[in-house]
Amino acid sequence: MNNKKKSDAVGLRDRQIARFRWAMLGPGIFVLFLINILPIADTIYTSLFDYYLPMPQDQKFIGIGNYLSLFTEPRFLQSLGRTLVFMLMVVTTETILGFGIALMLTSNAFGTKLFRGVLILPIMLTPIAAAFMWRIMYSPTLGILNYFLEVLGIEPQKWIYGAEQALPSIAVVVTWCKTPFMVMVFYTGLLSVSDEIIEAATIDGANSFDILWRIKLPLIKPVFFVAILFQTIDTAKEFDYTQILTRGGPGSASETLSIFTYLNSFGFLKMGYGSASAIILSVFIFLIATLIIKAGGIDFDK
Amino acid sequence: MRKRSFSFRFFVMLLCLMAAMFSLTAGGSKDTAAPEANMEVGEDGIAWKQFAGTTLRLGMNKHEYTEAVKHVIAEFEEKTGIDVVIEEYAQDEFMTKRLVDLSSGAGTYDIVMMDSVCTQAAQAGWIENLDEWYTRTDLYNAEEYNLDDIAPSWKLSFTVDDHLYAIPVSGEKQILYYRADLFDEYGIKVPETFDEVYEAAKFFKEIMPAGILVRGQKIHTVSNCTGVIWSYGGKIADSLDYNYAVFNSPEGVAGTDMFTTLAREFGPTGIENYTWYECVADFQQGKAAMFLDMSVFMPQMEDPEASVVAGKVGYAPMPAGPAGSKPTGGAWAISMSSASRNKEAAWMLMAWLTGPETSAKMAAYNAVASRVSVLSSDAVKENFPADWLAALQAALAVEVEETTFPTISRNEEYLDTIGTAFNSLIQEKQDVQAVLDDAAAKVTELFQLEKQ
Repeated sequence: MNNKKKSDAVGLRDRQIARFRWAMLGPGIFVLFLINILPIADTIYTSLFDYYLPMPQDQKFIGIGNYLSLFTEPRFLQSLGRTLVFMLMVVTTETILGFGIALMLTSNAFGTKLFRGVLILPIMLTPIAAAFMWRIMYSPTLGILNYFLEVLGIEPQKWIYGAEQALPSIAVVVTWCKTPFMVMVFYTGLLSVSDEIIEAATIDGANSFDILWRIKLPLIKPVFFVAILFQTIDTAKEFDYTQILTRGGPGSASETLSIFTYLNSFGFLKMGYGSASAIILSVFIFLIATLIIKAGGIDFDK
Repeated sequence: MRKRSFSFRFFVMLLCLMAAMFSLTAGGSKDTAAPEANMEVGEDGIAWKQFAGTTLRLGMNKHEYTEAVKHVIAEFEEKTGIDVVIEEYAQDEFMTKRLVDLSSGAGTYDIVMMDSVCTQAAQAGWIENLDEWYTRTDLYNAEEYNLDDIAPSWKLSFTVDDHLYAIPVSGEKQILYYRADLFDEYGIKVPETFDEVYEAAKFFKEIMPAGILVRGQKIHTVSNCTGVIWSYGGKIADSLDYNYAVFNSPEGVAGTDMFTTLAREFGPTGIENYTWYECVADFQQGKAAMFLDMSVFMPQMEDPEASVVAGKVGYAPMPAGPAGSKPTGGAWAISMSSASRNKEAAWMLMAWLTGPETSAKMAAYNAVASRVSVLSSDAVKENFPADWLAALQAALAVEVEETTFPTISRNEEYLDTIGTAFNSLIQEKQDVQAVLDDAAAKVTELFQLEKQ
């Protein structure tokens, strides 16, 4: 292989190379095993048991029993559906917004530099602090949002305090927080399109819509889909904002899969059941991710 | 052959690495060994210095009680030579830390602050049965201690199978907060019954965002609704053995109907997801005329920095239903971790902290005491508004048949189940009987699960 060629070049024997490589990788692999593989394996193992944390002596092996009862529990199925809806809402909006803003930034219009700086702010805020800030803004009686509505003569809204509006309201906050990431990725993607190609296209008589649709977009397609992939994974397992803003409420109106999993594991202390739910969440994310990778033709080996 | 020798070396390397890591962690948890015990006996017959040099770790919630402990702890350290390390965390973080520490048996904390998860922790064997420790008269002043002085309704919450597992240190009871200035201005009588609360709430809802505030969020709403059910003559469970749920009785339905109607009709917009955080903020900003909740929020209402209604708030005892005024309450307690390596020293501290002398001293630092004698002392009277203290004392005098939350292990699941029912009634008007029947069946199922 070409490794061999290289090693010959520096006069090292294969064995030494291999040994050195393992010595360098060893600690990393060991730590990775400890903090990644082991917990996942343990979660899968736990998910096969009927295991109530305060009574470890009563744990019972029930095979896929937990998975079967999960798929017959309406509350779980609803939270699965909600996660999907939530993901679609957030990722769609932030992709559209993110791309729009990125285009605007590349146009070098007045104030783009300032805007670029301001845009990064939400990323820099701690989610918990930002979530509390939004919770205050969303307050139906004291919040600034309802104050503005009142000024405009619109009925006060319930926002995160109402069953119908809770999930979309959380989606707004998450979109606000994550869009800057999309903007940055798209913006750098657009910048990487070489000017020569654009010039060539212009000479060939392409208008700006054609340039965008036929040239820029296809060129940044891989970047585009990688960004969507990251955001989808991130949104599917979103926890902090939902937990602080609504705790899944009112009732269970905004209970997503991650909240459901947390509640069952650390609220109800049903470790087996919670683990099974966590595994399903992971599989769910894996499936969606695969779908996006296929659709976007992302090739990680390239 | 080459291959094998390589993997063998790799294996040895891994082993060395692991050994290095373990020795690192082992070095980190080195404990200071206690020097030879000093068994010199004091006037009260207790060898206070016998555990000198020991370090006790307290896992505490951020709470006024913890603040008060910090004020008095130096005295204990001097008296005993024991070092006390207080680690305090905000509530949610504290609960997670406590769960991890207790369930793993790590024994990081010798003493942990305890709340409604007491039954769970006791049944799992995570915390010590204190009845046994109360017999250790060589470690505390048993003659002066007087356990009966600690409010019985609070002790009941920490009693599991007739044994006390945690000592209540600070507590709260349901009272009615009202805007004294507004009630005066409009000439409305301070409500003593729920029917009067209904009328007053209806009146004030016309002129302000909310006639009354209650917590509507499904978990938070349970303790308050339970008090109204009691006051209407209902109960949550058949007995303290928790065989089946009975809150769907006619009395339970009437109480739930009153509570959820008050919230739905006269509460603020979005009350269905209100926790105490929103209730307190709304009341502080003068957005509501009444607030039915635990007594613990008084200092926040009276804080002129945060509250525009400071000095304008009146406090009344829990309104009465057909069965009288039966407020619920909650308490924080301290318990001893079963995994503690310094149990005797820990008990010495627990008994000292909860004894009458220290409790009286701590009351001066605004911590609401759990001892009835301390609550009626002059020192306490100066610290708190008179009507607030009266409302709290009235609540403490009420005998209750059951605890605010069933003392079952699956407390969180109970809260989620019954809370979902109350919450759905707050969200929209429905047939109360049907909703409660459904919830009662599920709660009975939980009770039965406990028996297995």
